[in-house]
Amino acid sequence: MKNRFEQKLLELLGKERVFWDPAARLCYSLDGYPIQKHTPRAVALPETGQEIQALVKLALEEGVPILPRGAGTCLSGGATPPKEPCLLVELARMRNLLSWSPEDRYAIVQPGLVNLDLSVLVGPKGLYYAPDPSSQKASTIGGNLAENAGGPHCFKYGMTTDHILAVRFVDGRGEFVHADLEDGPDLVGLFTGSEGTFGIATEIKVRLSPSPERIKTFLASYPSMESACKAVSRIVRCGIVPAALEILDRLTIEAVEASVFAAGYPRDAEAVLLVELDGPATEVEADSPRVVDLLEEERPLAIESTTDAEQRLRLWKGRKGAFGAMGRLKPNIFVLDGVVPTSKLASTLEQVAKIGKKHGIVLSNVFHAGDGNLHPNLSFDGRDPDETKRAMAAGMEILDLCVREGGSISGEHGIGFEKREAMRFMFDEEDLDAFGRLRACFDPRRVCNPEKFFPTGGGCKEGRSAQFGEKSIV
Amino acid sequence: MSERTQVLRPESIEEAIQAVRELQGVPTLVKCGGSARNRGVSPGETEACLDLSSLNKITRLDPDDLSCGVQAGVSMKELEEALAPHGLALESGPFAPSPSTGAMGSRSIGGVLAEAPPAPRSFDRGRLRSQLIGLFAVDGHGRSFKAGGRVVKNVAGYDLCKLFVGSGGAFFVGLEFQLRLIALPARIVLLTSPPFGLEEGIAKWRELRKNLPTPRAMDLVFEENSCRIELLLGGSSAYVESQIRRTGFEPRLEGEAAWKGIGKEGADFEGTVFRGSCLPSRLSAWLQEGPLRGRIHYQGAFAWDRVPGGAPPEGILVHPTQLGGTQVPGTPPRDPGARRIAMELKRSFGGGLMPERLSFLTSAASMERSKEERS
Repeated sequence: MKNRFEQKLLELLGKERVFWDPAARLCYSLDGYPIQKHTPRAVALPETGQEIQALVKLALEEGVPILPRGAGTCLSGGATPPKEPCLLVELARMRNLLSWSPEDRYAIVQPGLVNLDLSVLVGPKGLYYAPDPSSQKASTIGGNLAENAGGPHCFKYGMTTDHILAVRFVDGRGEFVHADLEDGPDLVGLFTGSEGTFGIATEIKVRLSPSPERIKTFLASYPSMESACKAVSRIVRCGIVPAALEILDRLTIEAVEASVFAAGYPRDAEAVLLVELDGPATEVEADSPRVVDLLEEERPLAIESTTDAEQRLRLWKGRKGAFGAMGRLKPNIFVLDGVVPTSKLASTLEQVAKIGKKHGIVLSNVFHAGDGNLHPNLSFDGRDPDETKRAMAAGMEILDLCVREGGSISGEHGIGFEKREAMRFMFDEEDLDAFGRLRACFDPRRVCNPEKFFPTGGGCKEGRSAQFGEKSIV
Repeated sequence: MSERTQVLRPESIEEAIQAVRELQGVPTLVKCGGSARNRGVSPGETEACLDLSSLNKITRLDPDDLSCGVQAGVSMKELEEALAPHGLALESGPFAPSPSTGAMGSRSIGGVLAEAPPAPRSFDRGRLRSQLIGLFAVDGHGRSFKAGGRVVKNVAGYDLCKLFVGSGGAFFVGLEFQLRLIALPARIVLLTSPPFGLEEGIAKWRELRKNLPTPRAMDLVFEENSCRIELLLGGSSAYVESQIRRTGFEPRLEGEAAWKGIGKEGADFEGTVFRGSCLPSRLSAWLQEGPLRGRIHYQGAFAWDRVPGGAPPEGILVHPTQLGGTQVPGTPPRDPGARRIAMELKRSFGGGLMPERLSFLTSAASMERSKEERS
């Protein structure tokens, strides 16, 4: 016997587009953040914006939290259901490119369209969608929008927020909002990165960029992490803007080279630095000697470079496969996402290593060096409660360190469940109160993706009433 | 401002917060350098004026991290002078001269961020919204808060910086800002095309947009029945030289003069100046309607001193902002949902700040409500 909520849901979408059985729902119980799991109450598969609106209204009527989900690749628990059983809105059936203009360089897409698929669709006209999170083969534009996703190439091209021109979404009142950069206050910028706590996007207008004429990738290996970081600082300051500046440390190199992702990185190096130049052929070739000079100033063990597509893929293979290769170290991995000023990369990494040692956790680093976005990877065995606890403690200590060094707790993964308590490292009660008031303008009943983002406990208004239902109206 | 207007000129961040707390609910004009002194509020409606011009410190400059911190009253000129010895600059700009003084540098960073005027280099990631990475602010109810941070990549917390840029100061008072900077390229050159007829110029501009790698800026400048293209290039000498050969345009300025020089000519608009944006593909149709004087930037943002009669064609959005006039930047959102959210934001954050902005939003919402009620 179905209850009222279930009956209404069936009336809205029919039995083919609602998952009830436990096995199906279990598939949605977590995302790329391995620590927390909660099974949703039901999974709905809408095909239109109107259906999404009807689902939000139903959630409001029935007092059920609602959570949109793209591909579930989020690393901070943003797409993990809240503890209170929720209605999960699976957007896989809304993955169309609705319209686009090559000359005006925009595309209007549905939220479930996979990031890389958009570039494939517009590629024949010499365009692509620039934000490239490592998950871009699977992650969706809607998910990227919610988390303000970054990626290796955002050093030059910016984050997702720099590529969103307009969003149509259903807010926490169940009403449509069309936010446009050219129309009134910047609601687009507010919505981007709000982690699903303001509503659910139904259509997204994105900027398309011209595909670079030439791409050249350099691999420089160094005898110390400090040398690699100093080389990055030299390049950042010289006026050339590489498309990417990525560093892998020794432990990562060893894991990669022992795996199917082996890229031929020198095993005797303490760090390898990947530099990528892209743009017009004349510009790339003109900038290349200068980049080599700067790399050589820090006495590398070796430098290689290539414009050949296959060879470039090889050089990137290790970087792209690094997280997969970590599986050789321990069954689970906890990927941190702190940011520090680039001038403090080397000194911070020394401290990070000490924290890992103190907690007895295997710790490796692969990170976006150009913008100081660290990804310390804490390898642990989730079946061992003590080791899991130590990994979590080390993670929090590292995030605190990043903030004390003048940085941030998140560069691109978002807050979600993972970092909600760490928000207090950066923000005090007044800041959190401002965030709470901002959220209330979009979602006064906190029906959208609750239990995330805001820290629990303490004096924070939002935090105290973070559980949906404790307080219905702000 | 009337003679009754109370003017508060805080000399520290703490004094500024205290001042806003004392002014809670009082219709308040916020000004930084004063170049936009007549905008944002009608003189008769102002009961108080918060003058932030004494908050004029550059609080930090970290060349190696490509970022800096500045208080709201720092002038663009002071900022540029502090950055230049390090080979650094703000990617956005150059902003049109101050409408009240005619001086480019007298604009304050607080005013420029609040107004977000279109500018030749302000497109893609060069928009001001991408330069502001952190702020400390006080809202109209006297509640201070910060958002963002000091590092160039950061997604922690809601992005309240975005709400400030282009808001006209309607929601809160930005007191201190953290800015992303860029290292200037080895060579910068400003090229100017020969004069074209309208159709020919538009075709050339569109062709360059399609085929030329993204430049630092590319403006189409109209003078009645002719136009020209201004092209700002930056990069290594060899690359810039190759692009000069490719376009055949004449180099006019080099280095810092070029960086600051684009947009200077023809920026001396008089009378009503319209700002807005249009889709490059629709530009041609619009320009058929008559002689024009104005400038369109790379991605379609424009400033004109004459808009052809009648409604603009579809795809062209006109913000009826008058430089030197009395209207606030931007217009209320056309979408009813966005307007509702804007009003919620104003209610929650704005208090008595920039009262005309409030009435602007309120009246627009009331009109919409009446329309809905009628229908």
